[in-house]
Amino acid sequence: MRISDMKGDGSVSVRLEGGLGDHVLGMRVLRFVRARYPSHQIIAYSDCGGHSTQLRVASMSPLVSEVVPVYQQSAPKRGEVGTLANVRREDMEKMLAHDLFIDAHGVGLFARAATVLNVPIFDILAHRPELCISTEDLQNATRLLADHGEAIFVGLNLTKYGVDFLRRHESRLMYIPRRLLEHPKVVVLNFFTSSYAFPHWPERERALREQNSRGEYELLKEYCQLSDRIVPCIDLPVGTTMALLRQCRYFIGLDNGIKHLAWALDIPRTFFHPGMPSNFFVMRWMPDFHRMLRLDCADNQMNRHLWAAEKSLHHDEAPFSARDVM
Amino acid sequence: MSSPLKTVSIRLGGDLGEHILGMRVLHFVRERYPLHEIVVYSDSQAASTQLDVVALSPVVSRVIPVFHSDPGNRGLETLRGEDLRLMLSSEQTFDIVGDDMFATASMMLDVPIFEILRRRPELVVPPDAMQEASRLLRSKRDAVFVGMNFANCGADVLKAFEPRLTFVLQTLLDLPHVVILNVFASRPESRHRQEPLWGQSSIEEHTALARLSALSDRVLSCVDLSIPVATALLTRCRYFIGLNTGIKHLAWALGVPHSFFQREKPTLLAALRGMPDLHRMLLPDCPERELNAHLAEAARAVLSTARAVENI
Repeated sequence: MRISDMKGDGSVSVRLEGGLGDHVLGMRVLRFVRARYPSHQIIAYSDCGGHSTQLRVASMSPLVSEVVPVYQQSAPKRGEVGTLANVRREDMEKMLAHDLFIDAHGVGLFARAATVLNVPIFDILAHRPELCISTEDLQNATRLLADHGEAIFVGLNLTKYGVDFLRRHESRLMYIPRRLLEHPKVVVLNFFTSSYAFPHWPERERALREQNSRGEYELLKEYCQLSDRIVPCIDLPVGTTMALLRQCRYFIGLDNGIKHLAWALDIPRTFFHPGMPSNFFVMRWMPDFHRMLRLDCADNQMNRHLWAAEKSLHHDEAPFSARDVM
Repeated sequence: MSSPLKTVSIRLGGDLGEHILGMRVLHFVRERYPLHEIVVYSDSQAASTQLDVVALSPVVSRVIPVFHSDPGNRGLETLRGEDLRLMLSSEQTFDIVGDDMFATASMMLDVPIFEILRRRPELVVPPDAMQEASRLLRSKRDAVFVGMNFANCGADVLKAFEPRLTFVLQTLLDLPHVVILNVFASRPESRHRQEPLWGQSSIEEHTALARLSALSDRVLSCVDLSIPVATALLTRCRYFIGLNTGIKHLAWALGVPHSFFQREKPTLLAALRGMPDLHRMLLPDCPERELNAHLAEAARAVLSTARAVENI
């Protein structure tokens, strides 16, 4: 069927791929699909090796009718991650059986989707995806924050590069949280996992990243000892994590999936990155590049971010109370 | 006595299109520095087209041409000493020349990079240019105007597009009241370039463009107009068709619905750098239904009647 012939209640398939961050970034296109095809069902195909986090985050879009996991034929080789070429044949057939197929693979930066949907490419790239948090997740968040009635919450997530990285850069990574904790109402929610799987990655990178994840766990637990107002938020489902993030006035992290959730929720934030990413890297993974700090940044840059964080904590609205959740 | 205004300087470079694309940042500079004077340094060998288009920005106080000691180099390091000193004497300097696609500016301004990239620059046409446009179009009071620009790319490129271009023009001319404004320059100004673009031959190109105007008495040649007048004409157009040129970027900046032909598929980064309206691109060998979809949109924009769309 030709795209221009599509009129009725058909369906559009959208392939999301990769990790949590890739999925969140890929979901930018959904609003434009809905605008173009208001009566169609949108089926998201999650190409993530069946990882529950990605499947769940895709299902949080109010625009998606169904989320279907799809799989690679074999572990991808380096440089092939996320490409359509390695998707199982039966999954390809399923995806292509719809009236229209949109591949939200990050490497294409929505160039094809922009043309098919007749939307400026930078409108798609600039858009933050809509995410709906379930009542159950909101209730979980309320329960977790019940002891911190009048607190001002700050999110923290430092998982990605491994324990050596954390030790080497601890003073910089923790500078803003430490300074914010000088405010007696501030409570830092420290998000991390005891382990994390990367089934969509090539074998070698997967093993390294999973090893990093396990190694970080103990150290990130130690960070929670720095203050009784650093609350460990360990192994939470992505929905509950989002419900908690939504209560944060600021977020500090690295360039990973949780940071992308904070971006999608429009939580003011700072994230650290080792070195200067390439132009393409910025285009693909950093819609909030302006909130990036290099680990070797000048002190005045760090202080500018600290000032922005302090401003977010003390804005004019009534301070958040855990009772407000729900 | 009031103290002099503080200034922010911005270097823009390249041709008309690059200047327009660079001007996307101006809105955000104004927001960040609401009381500063914004001075643009146009790094384009003092080409009047570029100087004129920057002057259309309502947020720019002054436009100053700058020059290089080595004309083949666009880097800051070869900028003439006096120009560089002047630029850097401002409180803040934004260098929009080069390939970083506003990454540095987005950090300096604390603005999401894609918000800058998606922004169309504001252009304000001066009253005398509007009057001149009215004068040029006075004999076509009931016309619905469509802008066209296939200049500055060489006769060989025009030839490659000829069959499709003729088809498009004739289809548009089949719509009642349509008058096509064929905007081109007899001697394209490209002083910032060392070599002509795509081996252009301006005499042959000029002849080919004039031939397009001969297709119908409803194709008007608009030759050697100043940028303000060309902009004023474009504001009257319901649709625009062209190549990926500076004039097309003007149409984009003005929000004129448009289609443009591109000789070959650009790389992704080239598209991101030079085509915020990539979704309106047509390749010479695109499927007919794609071309028809663009023509249908043109018809909708021109006539806003279902009848016209059906005719397409």
